[in-house]
Amino acid sequence: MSDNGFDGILAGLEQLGRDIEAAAVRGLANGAAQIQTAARASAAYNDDSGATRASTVAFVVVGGGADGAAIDAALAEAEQNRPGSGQAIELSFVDRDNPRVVVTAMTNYVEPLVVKYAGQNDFLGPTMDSDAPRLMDAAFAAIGQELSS
Amino acid sequence: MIDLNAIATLLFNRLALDAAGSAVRAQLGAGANGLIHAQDLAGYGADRPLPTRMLLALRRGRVPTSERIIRLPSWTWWIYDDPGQGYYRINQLIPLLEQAYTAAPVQLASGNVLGTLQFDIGDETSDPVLGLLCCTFKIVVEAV
Repeated sequence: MSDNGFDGILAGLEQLGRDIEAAAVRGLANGAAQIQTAARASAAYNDDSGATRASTVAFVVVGGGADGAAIDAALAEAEQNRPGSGQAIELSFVDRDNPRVVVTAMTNYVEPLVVKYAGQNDFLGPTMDSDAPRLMDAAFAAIGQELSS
Repeated sequence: MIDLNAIATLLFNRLALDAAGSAVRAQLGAGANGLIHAQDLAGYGADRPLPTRMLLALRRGRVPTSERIIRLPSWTWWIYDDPGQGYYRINQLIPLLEQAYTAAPVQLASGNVLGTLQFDIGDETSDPVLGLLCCTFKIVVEAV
């Protein structure tokens, strides 16, 4: 069968779809880095040991997998600032069918921390309220670059 | 111009003073005294016990920084109840909160009415420091 007929067009469109999705993931990774920076700049941290701030991380999860180096580095930060506090994140709950961004801190007390006193030390929710649009902006920018390249 | 303090006062007083908030007040253990500002929570303790549950604490959220979208200020009511009650009363209160804010327009002193209000209900969780069950009821003001 000829490559330059309908099959070729279809294959090209399928490749375009993959390229756009890959660009979106790259963009989300850029956006996640911005979210991480914004979260770490939050004034809501207790800053008792610095473990939560230092281990705050944002990363993209695709198909249940994520940047292991970023996660390991955040875990190491938690342990360095408060030995025994590091806790790996469970990614099995994350949607496997669509790219997702996870923002968290790698400490074993992050959940009660963000709830305490009606979110007094919540560095996650308010950061997402203010900065989540950066994710969409970054994804669009990367897709735009891909389409214009 | 967006006056965040004025909006916060309106949202608080809708439950504390307005007729539209009376059904909510009736469910609180201390009536209107069960409505507090979240930043005051840490000041309660053995010498100054929290109001009888249920109680509500209001905290302001952050405003989106993106220039591409309309600013959407938000406030969150944290609903607290005693563990022995489970989440039953909290869940019963949520529709009353929504009714309180939709039964009548929320109007600024300037005469402007707050635009569309969107509500977001959080997970059932608990505050280990306060020893209470809690859930959030977030109000996003879409236009002012």
